[in-house]
Amino acid sequence: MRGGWCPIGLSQDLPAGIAAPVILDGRELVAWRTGEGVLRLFEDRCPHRGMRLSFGFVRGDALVCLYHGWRWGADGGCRAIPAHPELTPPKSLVVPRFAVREAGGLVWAALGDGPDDPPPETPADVRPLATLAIDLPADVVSAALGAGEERLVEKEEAGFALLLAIQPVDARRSSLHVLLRGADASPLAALDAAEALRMRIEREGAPA
Amino acid sequence: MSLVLHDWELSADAYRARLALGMLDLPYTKVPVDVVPGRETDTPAFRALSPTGAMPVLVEGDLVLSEIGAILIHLAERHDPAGTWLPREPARRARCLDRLLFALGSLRACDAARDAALFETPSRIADPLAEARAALRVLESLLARRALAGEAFLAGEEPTIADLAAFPAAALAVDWGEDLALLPKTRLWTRRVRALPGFTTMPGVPEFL
Amino acid sequence: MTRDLEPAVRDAWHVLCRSADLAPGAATRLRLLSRDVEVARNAAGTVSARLLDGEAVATREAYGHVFACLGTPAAPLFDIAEFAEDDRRLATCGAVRVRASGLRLVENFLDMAHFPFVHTDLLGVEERPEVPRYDIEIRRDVDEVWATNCRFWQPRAAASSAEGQMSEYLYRVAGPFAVMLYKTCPADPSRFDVIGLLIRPAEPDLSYAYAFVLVLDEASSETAIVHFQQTIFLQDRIVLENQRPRLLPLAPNAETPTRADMSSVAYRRWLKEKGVRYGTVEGLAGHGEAEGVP
Ligand code: FES
Ligand SMILES: [Fe+2]
Repeated sequence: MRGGWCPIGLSQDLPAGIAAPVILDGRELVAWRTGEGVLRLFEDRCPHRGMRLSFGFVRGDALVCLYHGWRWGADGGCRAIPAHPELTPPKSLVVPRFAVREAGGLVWAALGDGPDDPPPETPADVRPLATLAIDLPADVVSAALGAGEERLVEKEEAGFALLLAIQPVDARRSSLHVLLRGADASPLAALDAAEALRMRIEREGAPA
Repeated sequence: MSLVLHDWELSADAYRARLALGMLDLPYTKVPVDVVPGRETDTPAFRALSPTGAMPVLVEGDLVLSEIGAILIHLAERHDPAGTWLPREPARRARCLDRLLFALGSLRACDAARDAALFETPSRIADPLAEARAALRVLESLLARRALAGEAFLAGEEPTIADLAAFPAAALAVDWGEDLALLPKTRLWTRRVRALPGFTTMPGVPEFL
Repeated sequence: MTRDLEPAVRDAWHVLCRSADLAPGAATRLRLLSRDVEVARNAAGTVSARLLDGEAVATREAYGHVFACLGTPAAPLFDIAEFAEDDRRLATCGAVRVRASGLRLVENFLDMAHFPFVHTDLLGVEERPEVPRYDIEIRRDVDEVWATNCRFWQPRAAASSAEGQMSEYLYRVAGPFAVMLYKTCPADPSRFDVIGLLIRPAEPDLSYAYAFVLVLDEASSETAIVHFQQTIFLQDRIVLENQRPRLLPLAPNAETPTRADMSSVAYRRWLKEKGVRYGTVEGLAGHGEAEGVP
């Protein structure tokens, strides 16, 4: 699993100019988009004093740390240290970056260098529905969905063709990013079906 | 008639009132109440204003209100001539009140979780953390539905007092260790509330929202 | 029961609670350095404390707070001379719980560079973020860390100030978990206001912060002064609970200090010299209960 592509969210939930925390496989990461829309995934820890960068904010093409305002560029390099306006930050001052890609309305990440293969394709007729948090580890959710090793599965639920992307969060939690196939299906009714599915997985998967 | 708010900077309910006063652009006077550590809410003088010790208290002339729901409804009914914060049309009004009562009901577990995390304030709720997380999940679901219907706020296209009542629960969740990482629609909605004219922040509301 | 604690922490004074929280005849149980301590005040007003397994521990009552030492006090309780000046007002802010090492709290308190970003428009503005050079020394005679000649531009530096000023600061680390600052007083520029942060380390990564203010401010109500400090501290608390790791790293390459962080560099060096491990990354192996530390 480590090194392979994992879904971390719906593209529509990460608009330009925002930073959001992502917990993937127990690691704290921050996904952010520059004002122009370039998507990046960093370690969620500022090299200065360890502040989580997901608490910062995006200014133009930089992610600004909440604590002391150090600016981090899309390449991970430090652009400015406000306490020392005259200082040019050394090139060696960088935040670790991770591979991130978008495909079919989903955002995918890899903890290793990023696999050579692109993330899985989604069919053309899908619409994003919602992200559902689940209080169970991803392997239990995958087993309940019969997903095997796949991170993306299609599931027929109450007459709706749901596309489910499974994100391992940590030892007790996962996220289901839900998309809907078919142009005429009602998204609200499909969300009801997806939430009913979640309820069933949590009931059945709950440790006795 | 001048408005007086008996206020504590760190109270989530007081913040709900300050948000409404700010959004409605109403001038008011703050009277600071020493809730922690002074427990001024237990004094006879304060109980004369607020029989249960609930805070904040809004005073407008003869009117003394100490239930936050009543404060929000009163401010909207009395001071919002356009009638957008509490719609007058019955169905829209009912939807707004439905979300308002959710925000001041189940979602208030977030306040209990926060008070416990900051001050170890005991709560009547058995497991504030679990209930707060469950309620935030409901909020996320409500907002996901609104998003699918093309609506930006809890009770429709326009913000209402339901959004103001719910906002502190979500926006102050970091105070009890909930970073909303798994609740993307909630995060985006808090950004929309933040962007409203008249928005006021408070310590604990993170910059990222 | 306290043998596993290093002397620098075991033999130091730590705050237990506010004096006002302990009425005559009252007793309360508190966590200090991963131990349960019961502190009581008798009818005559005298405070005493013991570990829950029975051993009595040394206590002192001063500065509006109750202090304890779990070992043999290495020195008397640190002196804050300004408490003897009777035109000053004391406001104690009570306890705030923080899921972070107490050492991280001290370091945050010593730091000016975060004012414009964390205390925006109160203690700093984004347009003026520069931290001018200041002086730092470890005073061997009293075993304290001092930062002097600190200056920072502030829009509203205290509850009583309405306009901006170039504030002058002195910082003083009086113990591993006790820190205070002396700052230009808006009411009388020839004297300093004193603001202190006393930390009760309950676990390596769980702290209770007791802030106090000793000011020359006749205008503001005590409640207004307390609310101002609480506002400031809650802004810091977001940072403190979200620094990673929650424990303070003493290894020089773990984080990236700059010149503005000289006080933190000196504080860490001082901690290391004294052999402080409680609340540090390096001490993690030595102290049981730091579960959940990422
Ligand atoms: S911790 Fe990020 S700028 Fe200091
Ligand atoms: Fe601060």
